[in-house]
Amino acid sequence: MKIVRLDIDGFRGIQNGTVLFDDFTILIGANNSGKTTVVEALALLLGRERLVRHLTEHDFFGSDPVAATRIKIVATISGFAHNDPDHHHDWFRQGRGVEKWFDPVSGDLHPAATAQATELACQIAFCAHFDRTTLETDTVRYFYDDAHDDDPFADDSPVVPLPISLIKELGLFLVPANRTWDRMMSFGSDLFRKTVAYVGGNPAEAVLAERDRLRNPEQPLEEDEKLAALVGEVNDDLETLFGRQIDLSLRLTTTDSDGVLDAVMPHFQEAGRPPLPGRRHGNGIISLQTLVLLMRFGSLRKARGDNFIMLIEEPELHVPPPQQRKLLHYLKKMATQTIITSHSPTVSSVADPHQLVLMVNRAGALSANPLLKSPIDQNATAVRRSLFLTERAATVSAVMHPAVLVPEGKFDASWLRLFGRIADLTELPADPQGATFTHEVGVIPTKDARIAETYRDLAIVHPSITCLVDGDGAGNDYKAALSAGASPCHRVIQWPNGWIIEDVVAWVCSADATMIAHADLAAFGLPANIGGLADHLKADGAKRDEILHSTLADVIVGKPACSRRVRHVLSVLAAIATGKQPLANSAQTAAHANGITTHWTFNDAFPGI
Amino acid sequence: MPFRGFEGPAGSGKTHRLMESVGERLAQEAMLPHQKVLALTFMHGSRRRLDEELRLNPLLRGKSVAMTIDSFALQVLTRWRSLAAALGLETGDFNANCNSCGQLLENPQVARWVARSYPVILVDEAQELAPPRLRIVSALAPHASVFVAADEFQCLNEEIDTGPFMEWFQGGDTTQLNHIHRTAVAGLLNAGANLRQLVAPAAGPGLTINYYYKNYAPFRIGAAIHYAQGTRAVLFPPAGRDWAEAIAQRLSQGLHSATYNIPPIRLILEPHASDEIAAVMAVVGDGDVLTPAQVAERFAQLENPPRWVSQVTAAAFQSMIRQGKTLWTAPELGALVDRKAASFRAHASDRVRGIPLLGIHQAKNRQFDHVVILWPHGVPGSDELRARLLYNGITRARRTCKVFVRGQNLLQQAPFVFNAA
Repeated sequence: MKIVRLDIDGFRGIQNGTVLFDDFTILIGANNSGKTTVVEALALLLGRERLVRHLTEHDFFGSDPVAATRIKIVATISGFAHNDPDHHHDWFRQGRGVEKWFDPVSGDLHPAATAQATELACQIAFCAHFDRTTLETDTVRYFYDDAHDDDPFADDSPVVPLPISLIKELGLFLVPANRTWDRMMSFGSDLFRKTVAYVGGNPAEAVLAERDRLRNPEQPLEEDEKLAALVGEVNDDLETLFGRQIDLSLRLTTTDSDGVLDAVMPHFQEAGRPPLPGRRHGNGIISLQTLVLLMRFGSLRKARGDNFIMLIEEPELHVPPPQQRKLLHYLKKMATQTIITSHSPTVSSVADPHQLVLMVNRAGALSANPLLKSPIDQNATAVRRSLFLTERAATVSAVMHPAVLVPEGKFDASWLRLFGRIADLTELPADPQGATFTHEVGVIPTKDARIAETYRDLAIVHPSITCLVDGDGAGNDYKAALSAGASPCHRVIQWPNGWIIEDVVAWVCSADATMIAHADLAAFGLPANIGGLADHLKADGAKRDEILHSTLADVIVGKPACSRRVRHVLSVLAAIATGKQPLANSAQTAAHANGITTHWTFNDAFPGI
Repeated sequence: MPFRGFEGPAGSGKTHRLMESVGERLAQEAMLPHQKVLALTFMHGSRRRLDEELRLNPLLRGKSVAMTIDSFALQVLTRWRSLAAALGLETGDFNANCNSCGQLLENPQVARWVARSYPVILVDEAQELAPPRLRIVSALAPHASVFVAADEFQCLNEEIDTGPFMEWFQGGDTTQLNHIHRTAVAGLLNAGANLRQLVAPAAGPGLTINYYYKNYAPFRIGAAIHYAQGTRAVLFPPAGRDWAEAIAQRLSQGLHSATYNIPPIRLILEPHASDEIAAVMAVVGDGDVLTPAQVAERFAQLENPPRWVSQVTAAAFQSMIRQGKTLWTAPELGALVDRKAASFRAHASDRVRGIPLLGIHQAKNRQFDHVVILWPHGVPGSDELRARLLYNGITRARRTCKVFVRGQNLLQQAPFVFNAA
């Protein structure tokens, strides 16, 4: 069994949203895009109560729940053996769930099987309501039948509660980002006890023997000569007060078997060194050992035909990069289903593009789309192969930004990357527009001349895309193409008439004509007159010379007038790309006849720049 | 496998045989731990009584669930509302719900969903299965072991066409039961047999049919009740309620004369749900829009509020807290009142202190040692329906039945005399 779909309503920062899951799914996205919310939603619905703290008003979207406000989380479970409800009485019968049929392509559910909806599915839900009279949150987990007329808190509600046995059957294990590995490894922790119990019970005899030894120590603390006097006085006091003899003794545990189990501390020993308690090791080693234990548990479950769903938040936080890939491949094999959230391009590269789900949260509306709808195959276009295979790390890190900029070609992308570096190095502490571009805009390494296709492939994934085209004839054609079709681009920015990226660079440099004579540039044979720089940079050799490009960038960093222009360019691009108003007169706008697209043209004659 | 059927007159042990053969079925083929026998009935009262019988049966105790067909239909329809919507099925009154539920169950996936929980289904008093409800049972039959007991002659609703049911019933593996176990009293047995043939019932051992003049009748009726030993009930057919209430009023005062000295007798009229609901809703105007507090105020005006009224106000307050519903229109409140009254009926016991005064419909499938029947003028329906009503009344008795008619001329009419035609 696996979770194929999750619907969230009114939970934390997500007003509504749907996420579809594959057998292996990595959720990526900017901070605050709701990755943790999705993980906690799954934990609320499918985990032990303890996994998620007590719910308060802040867990409701908007933080001010009224009587009718609900948190509603619906998970669709599929992957039932034999795909036949007759084999799953515990899930599908009167008094339990109603069978639905899941269409894995569209993600839709149907009340009866169809040619597309072929997967038997059960929908289960979590609902919470804040009671303004008791100031407490009521929660319920139940079988979800239909959106119509479904409020589990209504009088005489027909909902059927979800039995805990089915939640256990699903076997969801959460490794949260704020984990305290040490606790997880102690005997007192859930995981270890569960593993031990699953393997065949507690080592009861050993625990009882240890308990007895702790009850009757050979050298009791209270008999130590340094303590004996104090203990004797306390005993005398107690006898005076209570009128009967009450003796103080000091024991290391609560002298029951629970106390023994709680006191157990795992130690790890490397060859030739003393054993050290887990908490004395570096985080990396502990977390790996914990994960090893968890995976052992998982493989035990799997071997017995039980379900095991792993939910791991940001494995990169605690697992060192060399082990990340190995670990994730291992997990993929061990678990029935693995769901991971991550910021890391290394972690992301373990998954195929169709397993990488980008989450974007815009004012509470969550969109969660895989980079590709289906696995990439030999017939994939060159654009897709470039975007999702060869340049995947760059693509993934770009789409994790709140806004995405698709330039016309890869030289534009690499120049914008250098611009970003210049802006970061020269940013003034008080600049109100500072650093917006590098923080909020991700630049796609567009394959040359494929801007329209790149846009269409990414528009499915990311809701906030801006295209950047040249000021030449080809740029006009791209602009027209991007404004046409079924889903036209919302924002297209064009450089001034006749300009391509090298003209922008030359314009930046011309803010300080002395820069061209900089000693570092002597070896590159640049024209003496800065007026010739643009043409020089457009010539084949210089266009591709990345050493020249980064040397130029370094020189620009040292010239305040030039770097000022760089920051200006980026702030104008960032404002447009993030949907804000750029500085007045920094760019002209023209609305396209399609009613959707806005064309922006960069203004290089901005006063004071 | 065809369903098992049991057909026979009142008191022939249909319910008993039904349970017995369900027990045999379970002995042959055990149910899975989560599975139960589903017992379907028509009225809340008979559901409760069937539930009690199931609990007394050692084979079925804890392994059975009794439900009215209507609530079963609503449950299935509610749980499968996605499919119902996709099939364009409608919800509405009980008949519409049952019909839609039947259509749902005609989809094997739904019938199998029910059968996974309830592999064995029994239906008592199945003669009342009008087509919408019959559809439910016949759709379940191919997927579960269905056991049905019926006696067409006991159908008291002239509006029900029992034809479709009888036709379906003939298709089962049906056993005829002819021996009456409930009573061995000759007068009762003969009258029952006669009425089934539309032949006049004759007074005999255990059975009297009499007219007494107006002032004397209460004394004879009072004596019949007072001197009887065992469980007693007073029954009346449709149109008999006013007279029955007047008699009850008179008996409550005690009866004294030269020859009679009868202490007050308490006859308890089993309230009709619809009367109770009407009385409660009388304090709400059609155009009223009330807050929960106002609802509580209105209901406080009721003189004899039914016990479920407190649940209505509690639900109104709960809805304010949990759903933010602060105002109730009269129709909304009416729906809530209906729901609370129904769920109360479903679970409240029908044991009353005193002697029950029942309509014959209400007395269905109950039994008493001594039965008094008050037969008024103007009992509606055909001769046959009147015969069925009297039959149902007389067959409630194990030991004696005393029929009192309000007018002497009634003794010359059906069901006491039938025309040769």
